[in-house]
Amino acid sequence: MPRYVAGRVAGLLPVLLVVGVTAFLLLHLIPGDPASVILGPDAPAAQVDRLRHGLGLDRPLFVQFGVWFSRLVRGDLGDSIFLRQTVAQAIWQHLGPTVGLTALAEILAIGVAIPSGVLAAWKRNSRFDQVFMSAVLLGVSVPSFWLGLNLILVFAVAARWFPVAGYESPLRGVGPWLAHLALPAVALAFTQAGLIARMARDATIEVLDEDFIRTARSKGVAEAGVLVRHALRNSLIPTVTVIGTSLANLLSGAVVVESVFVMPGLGNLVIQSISRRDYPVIEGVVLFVAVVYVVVNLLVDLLYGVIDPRIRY
Amino acid sequence: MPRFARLLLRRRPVAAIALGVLVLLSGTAAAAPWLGLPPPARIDVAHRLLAPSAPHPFGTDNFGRDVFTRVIYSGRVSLPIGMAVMALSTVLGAVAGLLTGYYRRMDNVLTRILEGLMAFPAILLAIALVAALGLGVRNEVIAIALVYFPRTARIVRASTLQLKARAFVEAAVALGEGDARILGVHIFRNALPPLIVQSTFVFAEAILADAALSFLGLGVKPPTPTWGNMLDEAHVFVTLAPWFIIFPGIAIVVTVLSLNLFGDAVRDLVDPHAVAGRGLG
Repeated sequence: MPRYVAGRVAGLLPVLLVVGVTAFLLLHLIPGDPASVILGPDAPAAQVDRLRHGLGLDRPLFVQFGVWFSRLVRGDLGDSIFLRQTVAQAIWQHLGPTVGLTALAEILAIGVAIPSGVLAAWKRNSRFDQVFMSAVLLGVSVPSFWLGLNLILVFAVAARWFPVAGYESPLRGVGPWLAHLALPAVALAFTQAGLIARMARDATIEVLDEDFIRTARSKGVAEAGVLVRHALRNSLIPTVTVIGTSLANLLSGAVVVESVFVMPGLGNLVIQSISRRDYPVIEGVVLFVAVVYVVVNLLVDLLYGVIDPRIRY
Repeated sequence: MPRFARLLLRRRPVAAIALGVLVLLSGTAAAAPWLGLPPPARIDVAHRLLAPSAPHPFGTDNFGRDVFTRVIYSGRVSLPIGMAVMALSTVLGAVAGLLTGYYRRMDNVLTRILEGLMAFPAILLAIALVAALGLGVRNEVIAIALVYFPRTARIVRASTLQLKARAFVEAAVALGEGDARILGVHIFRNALPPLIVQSTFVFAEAILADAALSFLGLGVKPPTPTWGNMLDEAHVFVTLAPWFIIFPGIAIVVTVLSLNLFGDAVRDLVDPHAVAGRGLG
């Protein structure tokens, strides 16, 4: 097992390198001189020169990359141009709402998707299955931000059950925190719930045809026991893979949903940084989220062994 | 094509309807200036935020502009963006997929790069690319295509790996045919069905990505209407004018749903063994 883990981590290095280079190159994609683009056309030349020097843009590209990379390895993402703080501090400050939103959406998505997927597989080709498949298709076709706007319309404006927008820290009470997160989490979870549910359905259908299911049934195990103990556990493996991917999609989707609900998360930070042309922050957030995604997928891979004892490393 | 349409109608009626909806949507969008609609930019402040009625079936917006007209005109921007993304990412994905699938040496380098690109969450990478490249239709298309082409490449690479081992390719190699002909004719043609299916899904994803980007103010800017930027404008009026939010969204859902239904059906027709569900992620 330790050897397998080490091998998997080593295999990630090239991917992380590409991620790093791509994030680094973002600043260099800016047409023309990034320093004068950042400061705008009216900036005095001396100020532009100072920023160019501060960003290291006056040095050769590979030197810039070396400096950037060696700082990155030490956890230094650079300084924000607009905010009086480092990029790492800015990310840390905006992390709470995004993590809360993503986590809640993932819990919601899994909680709805797996039971309904297993049920749809069990009642294959029934009316329930048809409704289920239509809901899945709708799930991947509805933009989360539009769903969010509709939820606001119904549950915040018409019914007044939830706040229209905003965010409360969980430190100031779990109730208000959940109330603010509920609608955005539902909006965000819908698409991913569809994807996970379909995976759970397909995997369960495959498992239900296996011999050990027939054995379990013939020895008189109750149908609920067959589904939960025999089918579900075996269908979880492919499903867990989708959950890893879905976490990335949720983090990414959170950027858009946060803007619908005016939440001070990472998405908000990115959008604001774009209008301020604060490229180090944009670069930092993108890099941070990509690395989180890579790490989560590694953990998901390692989880297989826990779920399925047949897999040995 | 009529043979295909008839086959679709008989075997997958829902998908045939979806195709019809897509043709209707693009047709009305293309013909919009000649349909006798009120001009999409005509401001009429006296009639702002009107509820749906006979002269304004989808109501009016905060400037008194006709929402129905603007939803139709949005198709003139969002649909071509979706098509352009589909074309660009299909070409890039096909080339990258063929090369990585056929040449072991390319595979090691290029596939790592594609995997690295896929490690970025889709919308976030598109946002960052647009932010760096600058706003505008061309840059938006490039940004979205760069996000989605690695997924296409992965599918073409998988087909290429399978086809490379098939007897007819080995025969072509034995006959001394050049790599260009083997890749371009023998392998590409046989890798086409999954590529076409993937392209319709990329089209659908591109429509969603374009909507999200213009909702965030990073797509085509008002006063040119797009479904995304209409929703952005409508956001503020959520309490006053719900129709302003509902109709542009329905246009997005209908377009994306039709593309997904069509793609699913085409995949079932060309490859009955494929697992249901679209190839995301």
